[in-house]
Amino acid sequence: MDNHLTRRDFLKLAALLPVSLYLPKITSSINGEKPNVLVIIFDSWSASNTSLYGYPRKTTPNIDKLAKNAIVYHNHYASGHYTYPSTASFLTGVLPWEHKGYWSNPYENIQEPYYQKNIFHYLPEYYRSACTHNSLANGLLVNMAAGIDKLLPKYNLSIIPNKWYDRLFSHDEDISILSWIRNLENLEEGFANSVFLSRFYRQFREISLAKYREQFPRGIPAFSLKDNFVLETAIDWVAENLQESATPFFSYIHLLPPHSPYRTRREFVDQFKSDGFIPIKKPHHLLGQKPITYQEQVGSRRMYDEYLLYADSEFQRLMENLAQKGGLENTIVILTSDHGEMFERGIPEHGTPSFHNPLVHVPLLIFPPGQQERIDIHALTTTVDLLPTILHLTGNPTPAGLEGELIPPFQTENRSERAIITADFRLSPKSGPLSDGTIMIRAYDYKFTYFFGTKNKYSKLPDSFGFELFDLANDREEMENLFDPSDSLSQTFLQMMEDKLLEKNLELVRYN
Amino acid sequence: MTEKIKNSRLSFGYWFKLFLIVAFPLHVWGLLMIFRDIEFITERTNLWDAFGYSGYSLLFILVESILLSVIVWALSLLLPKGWGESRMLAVTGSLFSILAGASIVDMAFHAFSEVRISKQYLYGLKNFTATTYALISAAVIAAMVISLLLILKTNKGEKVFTEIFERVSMLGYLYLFLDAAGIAIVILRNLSEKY
Repeated sequence: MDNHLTRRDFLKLAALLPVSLYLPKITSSINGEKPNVLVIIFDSWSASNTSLYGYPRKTTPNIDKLAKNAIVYHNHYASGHYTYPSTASFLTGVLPWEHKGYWSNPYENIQEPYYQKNIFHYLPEYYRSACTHNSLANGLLVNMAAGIDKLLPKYNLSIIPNKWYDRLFSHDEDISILSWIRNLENLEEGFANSVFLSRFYRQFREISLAKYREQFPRGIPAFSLKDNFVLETAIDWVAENLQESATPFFSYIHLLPPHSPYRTRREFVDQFKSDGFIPIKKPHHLLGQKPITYQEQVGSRRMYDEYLLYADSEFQRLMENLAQKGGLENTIVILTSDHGEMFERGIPEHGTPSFHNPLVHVPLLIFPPGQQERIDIHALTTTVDLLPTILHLTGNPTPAGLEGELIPPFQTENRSERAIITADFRLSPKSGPLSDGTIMIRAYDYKFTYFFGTKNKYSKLPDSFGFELFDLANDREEMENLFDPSDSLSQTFLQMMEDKLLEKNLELVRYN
Repeated sequence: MTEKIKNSRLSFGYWFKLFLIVAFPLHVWGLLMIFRDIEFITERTNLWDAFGYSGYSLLFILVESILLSVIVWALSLLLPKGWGESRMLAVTGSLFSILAGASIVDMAFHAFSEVRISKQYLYGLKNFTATTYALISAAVIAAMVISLLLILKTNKGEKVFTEIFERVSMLGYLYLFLDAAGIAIVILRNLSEKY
């Protein structure tokens, strides 16, 4: 084996040296104590709309300031483009093709071994708590509940908790709640299954929600279709819970904003109304839904951006609260998202299995205790890297079979040749060849995407499959598809995908 | 005789007849909405969840029917003591059905895309909300007054309403059967350990 460093390797390693000098000592212990870990997920938070990453609108003024004491990751990618697969990847450390949590139904769960093989079970000496507004994330947490010391029921975060209903049908929460909503609460849409009781219930709700209406002129934030919440409740719970919890703790907090519906707090309404920002017009995508007018796109984007201000302000409040109480002295805070959001190309929100950057390029910041400098990391990182990284930071061994790796600056080896993968197989069966899906490989400055299938939106594909290759260094907005089967670069990416599938022993249904 | 009528009003049989009348519009609308949602749920989850959703909804409609029939029954005790059971049922049933019909029409107006077009047109009109609700209220009150006049002033009117409600009650038994199936589904789903 040749161990000699080339000049090139030496320069690469030298480039990492300043970073390692700034890095505080947060490996397995601080002052002999294991560090606490607080993970905050803001759902559907796209790096593309974040001022920290160069978005022209100042959407995250507080996080931008807090970042001066953080490690900021500039090329972090979600492992899926919607909550279930991506959150499952975060918690299990494996990609969707491994945990198979790519169905939208919480009962069509991740593979059963992952009920035990997940971050909560890998940190047995930690006090583990979790809460979420998101039904899909909640489904995962319930599956993993045996490893969680305190799992706050989702509806405790609601303004009007349906506690009795939850208890009565605790084995069948999602479907019973769906029925409750459709029967009683749906009247906000003008109709419900119940002819009369829904009207009485509406009056009851109006009385309960009246004090929040003033604060939220675009409507009160909601999850599970009609369950209203305010972010303040969850933030207060986190601050209080962490203050009281045993140490070391690991806390996973999955908050819904800025996920739709975009209902920001009063002081952020119309913040960007006349800022002169003109988003780029982008063509309709093959898998896009119905055409959306440019004005509608611009309007949705502004609503989202203004909602993001709310999330940003509450995160700042949490950090301030924790700092005041000394809660950050031995706590690593990880701030990220499960996936992004999009407004153009006929892809509103994140409903289409395309992997354009706004949908999968997400923020990641790590706030180590005592960090005095901002460190910017431009290496490629992905959701599945977070589990091995957390295990490293907490001094725990990394189990075999994880698909991510320790990220810089904790990993000092240069990995410029690294390729990361994002995948979605929502319409594929859990066993047998994958019939419908999207696979994305992000490597070097390029992003390669392969779409295949015949079901649902995939049926729009010519010949049942399609390819995209974008040069992100020169085409950040992904406007020019470079894929050409005769081109060597395209062939390289095709080969990379084939190799990865072979390595994972996966088979695709080959159309044509 | 008065004692007999009083007893009849308080009897389970009288309440049950009222219940069947009340259950009819609630089930018609509820089932319509359930069928509308089944495809949506099956597409996103599976058929068993769609059955589960139907089961909970039917249970819900049953509870609503019982509650409302008790309320209607309690209100019917305020009616003149000299009225016979068929007149009582005709009056309470018709008034309830008109109110239920108005509520359903209002919901259908929002629920179905075909009606949404006219809704958009109407929203474009000045004073849409006030005008529309004034018109609806007037129509509902007019329908109630007309039905009351028909029942109270003509023997034929009372007979027509009574016969309609008798036929409606027959359908009520079918709905009860569906409700029972819904309860069975709910029990099954809650007995199985999901997590």
